[in-house]
Amino acid sequence: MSAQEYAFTVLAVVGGLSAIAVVTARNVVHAALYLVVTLLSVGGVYLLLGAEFVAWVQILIYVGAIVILFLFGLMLTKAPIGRDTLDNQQRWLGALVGVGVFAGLVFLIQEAFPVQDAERFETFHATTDAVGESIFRNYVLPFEAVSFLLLAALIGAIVLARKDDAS
Amino acid sequence: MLTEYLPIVAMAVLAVAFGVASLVVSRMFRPHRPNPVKLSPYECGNDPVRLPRGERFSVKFYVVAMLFIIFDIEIIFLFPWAVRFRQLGLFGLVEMAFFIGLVFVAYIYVWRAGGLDWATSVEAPADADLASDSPRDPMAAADEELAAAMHDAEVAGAR
Amino acid sequence: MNIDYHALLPEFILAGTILLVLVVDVFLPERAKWFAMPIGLIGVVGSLAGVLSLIGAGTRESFGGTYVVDEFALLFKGFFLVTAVVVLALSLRYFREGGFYQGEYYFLLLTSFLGCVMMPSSRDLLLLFLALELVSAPGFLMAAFRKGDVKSNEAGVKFFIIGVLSTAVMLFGMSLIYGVTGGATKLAEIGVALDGVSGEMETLAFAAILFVVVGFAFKVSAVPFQFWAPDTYEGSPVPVAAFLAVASSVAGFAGLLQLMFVAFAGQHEFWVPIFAFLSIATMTVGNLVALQQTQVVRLLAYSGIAQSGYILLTFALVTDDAASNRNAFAAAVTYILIYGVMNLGAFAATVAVSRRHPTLGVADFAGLRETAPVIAVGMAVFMISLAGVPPTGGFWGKLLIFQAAIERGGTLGPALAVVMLVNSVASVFYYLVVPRQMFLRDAADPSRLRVPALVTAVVAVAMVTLVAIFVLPNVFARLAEISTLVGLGA
Repeated sequence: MSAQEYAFTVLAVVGGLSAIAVVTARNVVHAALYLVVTLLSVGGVYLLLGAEFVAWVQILIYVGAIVILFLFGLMLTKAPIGRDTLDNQQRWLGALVGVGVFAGLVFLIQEAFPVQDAERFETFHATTDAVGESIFRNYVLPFEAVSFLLLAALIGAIVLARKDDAS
Repeated sequence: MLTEYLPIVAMAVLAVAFGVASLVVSRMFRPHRPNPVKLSPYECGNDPVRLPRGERFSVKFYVVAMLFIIFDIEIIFLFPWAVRFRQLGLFGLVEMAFFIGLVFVAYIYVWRAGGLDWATSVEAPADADLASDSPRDPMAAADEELAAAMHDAEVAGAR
Repeated sequence: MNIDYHALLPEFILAGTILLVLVVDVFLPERAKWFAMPIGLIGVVGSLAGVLSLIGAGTRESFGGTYVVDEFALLFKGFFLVTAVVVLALSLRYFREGGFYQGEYYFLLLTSFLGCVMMPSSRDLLLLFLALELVSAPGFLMAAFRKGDVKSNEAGVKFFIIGVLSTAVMLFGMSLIYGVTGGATKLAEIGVALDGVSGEMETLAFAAILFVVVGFAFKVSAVPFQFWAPDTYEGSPVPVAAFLAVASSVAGFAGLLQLMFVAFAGQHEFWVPIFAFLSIATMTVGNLVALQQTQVVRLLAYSGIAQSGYILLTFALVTDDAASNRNAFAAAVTYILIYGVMNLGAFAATVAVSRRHPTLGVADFAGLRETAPVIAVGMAVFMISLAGVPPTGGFWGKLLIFQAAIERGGTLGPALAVVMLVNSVASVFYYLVVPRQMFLRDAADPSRLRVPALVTAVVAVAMVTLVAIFVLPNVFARLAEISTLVGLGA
């Protein structure tokens, strides 16, 4: 195995285990912290795939901002912390569906793109330069649409979070 | 390209190892003699009045967090744009100006809507009268606070 | 890369209006907040003028063929903008009197319509996804706009969670398609690339198509992804429910039509049974549950689900035969447009009644013939039209789908036609519940219901349109005919 494959194995195991810990953790704050580990591992995988810019976006936005918002949300809503508060009756059914879909997808993807035939990692390298060229030339319209989406999200969040003086 | 990340990996491994080692070593060598005073949370030398658990933050923090995310994402888009700036020319400048302009509108909105005002709306009466009480059993205080907060939530729900 | 600025004019005008609404709202005093609505209205009309200026200008491509303005796109853009005018008209009084955040509401509504307007032109997976998000995200927020009401909170949260989940599934499907096709994102390229794959790759492509369909099935509230619809419609402000039932779900269909008839057309043997199942389940469940509803918005929600089932039926009619596909496509487009008119009308009448009876039980419509005659007649027409009974446009819509199903042949076509016929007959029972209350029962309070002029106007126009469609079906059938998608039936 090459160094990349070792690195990938470590990232995959750590990411996978902490992903399981996210949903099984009894304490929501711990769950959020496990989520950090999972997202970091995913960022690492992006890096291994040569998608450098996406990897850093993953770390800056997801780990740096989204999880922070999660923790804020926990503090703001006083989410119930502790045993059973996050449970419901469908956990076994949920597990069954989750495992079923996962197994099916692993099978299908493995059949279509067998691991044995995988090309070497180094062949692909998306530089920040290439990403910039792509976003700001062919995908200008989605890019500007994103700004409207962000604007709507912000305004909407403020409206919903705002204390009503009027009513 | 990936070899450039080798020092970072080494750094990360060292950092984790240092953290784990510190905890393990101190656990092995420190004396373990707890008493209630030692176990109570440290609040700048004051007697702790309640446990932090169950305390609800002002919703204003949420607005700040949202603003943070929006601007964070905006800045991320600036990276590839800056790298590619010369080749994109005037067109790139205009589209980025438009993008930033949009987020700036959001900023104006938050500002005018009072999302950034803190002084005008200091409101936490339930916390205030709890804090003024003499020191009590922290758990009892926490329970009371929970009840108060639940009552608040009910009032809010009914509104 | 090329940008056709004229082709993008409607979007530019709408985007400018959105910003103007937000900025003006910030500086308006509390009492004048409603002023955001006329500004929005002018912008939407301006955008509509932009769409009209593009008629007959041929197919215009921008951004390397990812954004195409052709007749199909123009037809839907026009439809969405007219819907925007109607929803704005319904919103004015409702939001002004309800003590809502008006400027923010109009901002979110128009942003959502921007997504709608982008949808039929998006010929690229990424754009399609973003347009769908742009439609949905403000929708989540608008559904929760009655902040003090627990039902509205529930509406927003349910819509959000189910919406985000299905979007995630869809996005995963899109990523698989990207992988299977070797990096194609344009719909036409995907269509070509998918025809070339076989074996295990094709199996994976089928899974990907299934995932993508899930995302849109949620959007059009197809069974089994319909759970959010009744609760969300009931909890939302009524004009928002009108928006969700018409613009948002039609946007879903606009996207689905492009995906299925262009990108995935070659795989129809795989997805036709899926759509047949979706269609049968959707109309049957929608109609059966609608029979038990006693609240008008919930009734309209389930009726909307059933109507989605009729539209989904046209997807199950796709074969190798291009002419028959064109029939199915035309039937889908025609039905979508007629569905929009009758549903908007029904919601307009509901808005009128909601001013006196905010709970909107079926019994609240009692005696409407005396308290608000125009609304009562209009509502009766909309209900008859939704049931597909002449003399209304809904009859032609259903007839076209029925014909397309019979003409498709095989066992599936006629079988689906029969299921649809049975469903239509069953639906008459609940559609007539409201007219019975309006015309055969007496109101508890016989004083005249004060209906805003704009709402009355919407009801009257929708009513006249539906009858006109019945009288002059050829004019409307032509609309659908000119809007054939490029590459259809290839």
